[in-house]
Amino acid sequence: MAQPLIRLMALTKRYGAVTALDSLSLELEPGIIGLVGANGAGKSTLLKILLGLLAPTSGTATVLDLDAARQGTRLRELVGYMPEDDCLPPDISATDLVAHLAQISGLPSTAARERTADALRHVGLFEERYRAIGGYSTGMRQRVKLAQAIVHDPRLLLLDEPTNGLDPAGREEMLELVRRTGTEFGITVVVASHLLGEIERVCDYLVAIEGGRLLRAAPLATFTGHTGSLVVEVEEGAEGLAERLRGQGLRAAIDGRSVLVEAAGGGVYDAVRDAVADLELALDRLEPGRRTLEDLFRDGPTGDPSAPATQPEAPPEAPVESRT
Amino acid sequence: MTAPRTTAGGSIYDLGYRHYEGARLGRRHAFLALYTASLRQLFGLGRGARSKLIPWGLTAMTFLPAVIALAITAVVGTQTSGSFGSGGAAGGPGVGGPGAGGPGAGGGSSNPLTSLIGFSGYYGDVSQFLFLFVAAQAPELLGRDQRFHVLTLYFSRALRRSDYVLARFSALATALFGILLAPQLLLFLGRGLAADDVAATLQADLPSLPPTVAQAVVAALLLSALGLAIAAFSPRRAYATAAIIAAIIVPPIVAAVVQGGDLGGLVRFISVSDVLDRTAAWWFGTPLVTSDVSTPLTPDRAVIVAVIGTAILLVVLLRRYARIAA
Amino acid sequence: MSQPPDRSQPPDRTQAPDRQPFQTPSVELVDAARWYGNVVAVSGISFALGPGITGLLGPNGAGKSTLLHLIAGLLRPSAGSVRIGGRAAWRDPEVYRQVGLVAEREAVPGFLSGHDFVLLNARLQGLSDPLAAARRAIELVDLGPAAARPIATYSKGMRQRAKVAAALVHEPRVLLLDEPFNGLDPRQRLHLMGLLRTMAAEGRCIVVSSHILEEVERVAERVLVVYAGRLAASGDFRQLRRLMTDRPHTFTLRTSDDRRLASRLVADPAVEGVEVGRDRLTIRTTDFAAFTHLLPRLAREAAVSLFEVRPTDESLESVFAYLVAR
Repeated sequence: MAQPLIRLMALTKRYGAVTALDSLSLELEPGIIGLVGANGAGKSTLLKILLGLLAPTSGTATVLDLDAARQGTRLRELVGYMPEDDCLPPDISATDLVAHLAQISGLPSTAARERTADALRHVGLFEERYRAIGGYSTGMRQRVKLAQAIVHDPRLLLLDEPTNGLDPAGREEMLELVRRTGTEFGITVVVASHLLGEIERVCDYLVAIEGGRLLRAAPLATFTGHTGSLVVEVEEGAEGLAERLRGQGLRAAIDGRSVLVEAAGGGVYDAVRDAVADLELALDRLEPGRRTLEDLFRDGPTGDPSAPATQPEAPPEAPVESRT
Repeated sequence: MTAPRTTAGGSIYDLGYRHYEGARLGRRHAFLALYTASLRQLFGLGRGARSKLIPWGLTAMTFLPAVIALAITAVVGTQTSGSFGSGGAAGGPGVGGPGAGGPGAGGGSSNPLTSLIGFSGYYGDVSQFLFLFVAAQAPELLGRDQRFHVLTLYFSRALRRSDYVLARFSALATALFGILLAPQLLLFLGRGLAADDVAATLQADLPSLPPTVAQAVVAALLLSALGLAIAAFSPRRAYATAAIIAAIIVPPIVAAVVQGGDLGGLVRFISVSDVLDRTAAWWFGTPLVTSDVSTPLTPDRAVIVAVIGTAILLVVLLRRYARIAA
Repeated sequence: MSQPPDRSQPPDRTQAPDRQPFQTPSVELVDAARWYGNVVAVSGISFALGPGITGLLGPNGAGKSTLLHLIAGLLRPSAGSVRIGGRAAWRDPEVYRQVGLVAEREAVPGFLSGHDFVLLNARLQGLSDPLAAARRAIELVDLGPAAARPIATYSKGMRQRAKVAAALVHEPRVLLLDEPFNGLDPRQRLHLMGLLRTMAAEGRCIVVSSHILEEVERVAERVLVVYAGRLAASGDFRQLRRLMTDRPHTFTLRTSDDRRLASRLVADPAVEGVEVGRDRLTIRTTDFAAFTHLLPRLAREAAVSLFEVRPTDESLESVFAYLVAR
């Protein structure tokens, strides 16, 4: 039976009086994993531990079958990290920097050179790669950061706010790159981000931490399932429509230009269609209501009632929320 | 890479992502890669001409005495098969003594000019260039990574923090060792080859080599440790360079000003230039002729101070990098 | 493409400048431009804003920051006019009292505590009770517990909130925010969005510049799109989309009988293209209004149930992409 890619067992990290991570237990399979949490909730600490850069106060972190605390150096040969903040020297070209870093990750120099060329191509840096990084735009810099993270073919990639500072077009491209990396390139990606919309688009699994504790860890689909209501968006006349539907015995609420109708059996679709047609309204949109990740944070720490409230006290063998 | 799709007429190759199945060489390779890159950085290789100016200029200066000596020898010819190694030297604060004593004793060269340039005095001749090299290049090695937060990218790899420091340190020490020893080797070979009796000259000069190497080792290690320890706390290049220069030239000035008494003598213990002058005297066994003979920093103690000093500075350097945020 | 909103008459400049503010638009630019030598940061910008939230969008380098600084009265327009409540913005202390700016790049002094920083701004604004105002502002952004600590110890999100508090401590009528959500976690974002909505409801004019279009979409009633220093579009982005008549709208439908509905739709002149997929219908239309009216009617006539109707490019992201791709 294959071991999970990442396995945390009662992972705790304390800095003096401050508890950054509190008994985190988690098992993660390959895929694209979103990591969300309030600032100061322990995301950076967790990433550092996954990189083998910090030793836990107690508990264990096993990444790629290696003990992150004791086999950190070996682990970092197989993990790529894209930091959130600026970290690029200005007076060296992307090619030189990435090739150098590839060697620091353990690649022999020929392989380093070849993989650098490939990595830069994959992230979309072409002629610019020979120019000094000082002259690069934000988008290009983010690409260099991503390139250095994948050049040594890591099995696990940790991205910290990868779309930071990018304009909408740049964000689109970066998210597409992340998706490709996770699917086409076959590398497990952990994306730490505050932007729930992005996580919804790109990730298939979610880990939410709050105050150093695990809030939720589950496939994304469980968070963004259907709410059981229908969203009917009309150009104008929402109130009239809602009233009409209520008159037919349906529960309807107004949300801006939309009417939220509780889906009660198949007849509701035709009822909506007919009501809109009768009132001669313009139907802009009709779709099932979906929960968004935002609801998780809007509702407070207890979140969805079906979520596990705390981590299981069970002995290490018992897995938590294993993915399908 | 997947197999190309091929027909009789042509093939389409898959340019998709390729996984790496080759060797992963771990910490050692990472260390060597950083060491090599640091050496290249020190001599401005792979950068523009401007970054080569200072290091190569200073290297040329360290070669100058040897080149001059060889030129004179070539023109005038060596008139002796005696040892060359005990020639006195000018330059450097308070070092060097006239002829005689210690290994390589024997008749000095009869050419007054060549007697000015000898192995025992070579360090003293070129020490200021070594100081300048460290002051200029040590910040070059550490400053950029600190200022632009590149350390994150290093530490998230197969390289420990201590590896990073030691790789940089080894590179700088290698460079200093090289630019101090190489000209002297050149001198050694040149003298021998220019002489009528090659073998005899070489053999006569040979005893000068071990002390030369020893001094080069000690000077390289101590100066590197000093330069890097200071540069580690000052990412801005100009400040670091100034601080290193100050650390070298201020103590002797203080010692000279505070003439006599214990304080002046004690200050010399932290004066790198004084320490290294005395270690040179120790290796070559030349007596010290200085204006301040009252210092307790005798040549034998100087060696110990050099070793301990290097160790302390290295610890400071390592601890700085153990804590630095990345 | 879309034109800037038509104003019926130019602002009345003959009136005395001490007229009551806010009977006129809160922010009004007429042909405003700003250049630096040959570099034109913005030019030909004209728009008028009242209470409510306006999103300011554009690629990096398009001139958004320049525009915000012009509105705040910190930059002098090289041409045209920038008026706040009818008064020219440049260097007018009265305008500074009405405007709050949260700039993205500007650093805050790290040695000050959050509270002191906000208090400083309160004092600079000449408020009658700076202490109370500062306290209120800090409460509003939820920075209470950390307010006593120096800003240097703050995380990015907290720094951001401190800047917002400082910008609204004097309860400005116009609030300009450059990337205010940067570094804020999801809950803090929601909180700030709620705060902005509340303030807009109080009659303030709020301009938010952001790259996170899905958030701007939710909080802004209208947008200004800047591209290469020019105003590319302004208004409700859904209306903007309608104006883009050269791009057909695309809808994805899931129905109980795709083909039957398709055959009825194809007959209508509003429909430009119909694509029958495996489990969905894709419709292209150049007349959004006509199609959205048409669809439920036709579906009913054909006795086809509609399960899903989704416009595929109605988001602000799509609109924005179209606008800057020209």
